[in-house]
Amino acid sequence: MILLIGIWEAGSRAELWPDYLFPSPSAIGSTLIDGVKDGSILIGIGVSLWRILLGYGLSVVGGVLLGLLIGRVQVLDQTLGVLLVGLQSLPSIAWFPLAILWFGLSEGAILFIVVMGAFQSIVIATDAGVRGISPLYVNVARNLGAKGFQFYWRLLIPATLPAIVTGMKQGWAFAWRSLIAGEMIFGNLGLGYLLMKGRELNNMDEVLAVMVVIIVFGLCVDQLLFRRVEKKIHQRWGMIGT
Amino acid sequence: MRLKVENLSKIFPTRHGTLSALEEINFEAREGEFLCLVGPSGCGKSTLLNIIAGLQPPDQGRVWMNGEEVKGPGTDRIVIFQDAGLFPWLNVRQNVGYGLKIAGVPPQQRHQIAMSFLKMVHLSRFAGSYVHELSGGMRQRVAIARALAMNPKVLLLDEPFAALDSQTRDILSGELQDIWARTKKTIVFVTHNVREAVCLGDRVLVLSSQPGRIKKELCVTLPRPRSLNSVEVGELASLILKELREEIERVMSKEMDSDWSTQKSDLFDLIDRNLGSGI
Ligand SMILES: Nc1ncnc2c1ncn2[C@@H]1O[C@H](COP(=O)(O)OP(=O)(O)OP(=O)(O)O)[C@@H](O)[C@H]1O
Ligand SMILES: [Mg+2]
Repeated sequence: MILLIGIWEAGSRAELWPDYLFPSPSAIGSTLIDGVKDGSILIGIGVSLWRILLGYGLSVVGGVLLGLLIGRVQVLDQTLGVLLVGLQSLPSIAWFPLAILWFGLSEGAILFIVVMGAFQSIVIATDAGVRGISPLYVNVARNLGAKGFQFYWRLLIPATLPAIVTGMKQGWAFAWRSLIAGEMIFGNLGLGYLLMKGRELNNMDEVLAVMVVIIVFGLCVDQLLFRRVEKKIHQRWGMIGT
Repeated sequence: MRLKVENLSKIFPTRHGTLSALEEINFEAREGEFLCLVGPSGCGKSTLLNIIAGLQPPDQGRVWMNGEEVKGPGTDRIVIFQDAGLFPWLNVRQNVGYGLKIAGVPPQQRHQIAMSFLKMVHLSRFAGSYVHELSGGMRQRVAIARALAMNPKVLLLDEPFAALDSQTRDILSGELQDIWARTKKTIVFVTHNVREAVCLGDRVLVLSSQPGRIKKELCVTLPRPRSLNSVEVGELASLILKELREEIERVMSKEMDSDWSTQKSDLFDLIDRNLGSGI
């Protein structure tokens, strides 16, 4: 990684390519520091973070609930389940025209796109998790008196947790991408907006600086949050490969 | 009278027509009795226990508990499954307390009950362990503690020791007799191991296969505690085995390809081992 950045910097210094097309790491770094100092990047991060927390949070809660239901109710699986799998091939940004129609050019439209990005993966993973539960666990729980809400809360959710986390991880990646895409089009604050602004001003330093922020942030959440949770679950479950 | 099974039948649809898993099963288990059901693999033992537990509906017939008809699962009948079925997301103590938690028993009391039953199965030290850290025998012990913690009227055991090595099985069947003597529970124990059935039961019901019917009933009056390896148990077991052989042969000839009879002698070696005459 460091080597790669070194080569990149050296290439820029040697002027193998013009700076305005592909700026050097040091230029990006100083733009980044400036951006943090004048607050524009921090505000961008803050706004994007708020949007993703809201959109992703909604997706997780809704996705897990719907996934559990689809996993348990045959009729739902044959209707909604099939529909969701079909929709999976649709990139969530394709919902943008509809979102604008329904919500106008507002926060609601962006939120909708984020939800459409994460929701399906979480539903599908949860559904698969429910189907994968050993019938033995189901029998044990029913035998020990679990029914109704308790059955969902004390059996289905914990037993499905590894699958839910996998779905959440995948959903996170989709949500984050959808958010940036949405912000680039809709553009009112947020990292995607900064990206577009940089392009309009022909400021490639800023574009790349924001890209770095986007990558680093997405990576951090994946590594620091999901990897750890997954590892913990695998240990607890006694799965191999930990 | 505690548990009564009346005219129970269960039919499964299969690709080649229907399979009569259980047919006209009738028996009673007296209060505090240790009743063993023994039969070859596939004769419907698990199906029968699941129906008694209310986890599966019968096609015909009824199950009665103290004169009340069984309509679904209930914590007065707790099953101990062949694969313990402990939850990997809970530690040992939480597993034992699972049913109590669902029943709404407050944490303090739950903890106490769980620990007392863990003590009964000699696993207090492992209260904080997770399932993958336990051996097969320990898992079955936890499952027993979890069942006892519910204070059921009837314990239903579905080949609980089948997956264990013979030493562990021997130790656990000793402990189970102990626990039974102390708790005075009514126990219905199914197994394909005749020796095990004779060793544990006050009474042994022999099931035939396809259709699953009660073929023979036999009271065991040997003094307790009995050991799986004792001579008396062995003698009684081989008596039952002789009858079962004939039964198994009949089923096998139905199920297997036509060339199976050439391998008959191998088969009987296998049956003897499987049904537990050879240890
Ligand atoms: N859900 C089902 N659908 C179709 N057939 C079934 C079903 N459950 C059980 N059977 C069949 O019913 C018969 C009895 O099954 P069961 O599991 O009760 O046997 P068992 O005596 O417990 O066998 P084992 O000793 O191998 O555990 C078997 O032939 C099995 O294939
Ligand atoms: Mg069985």
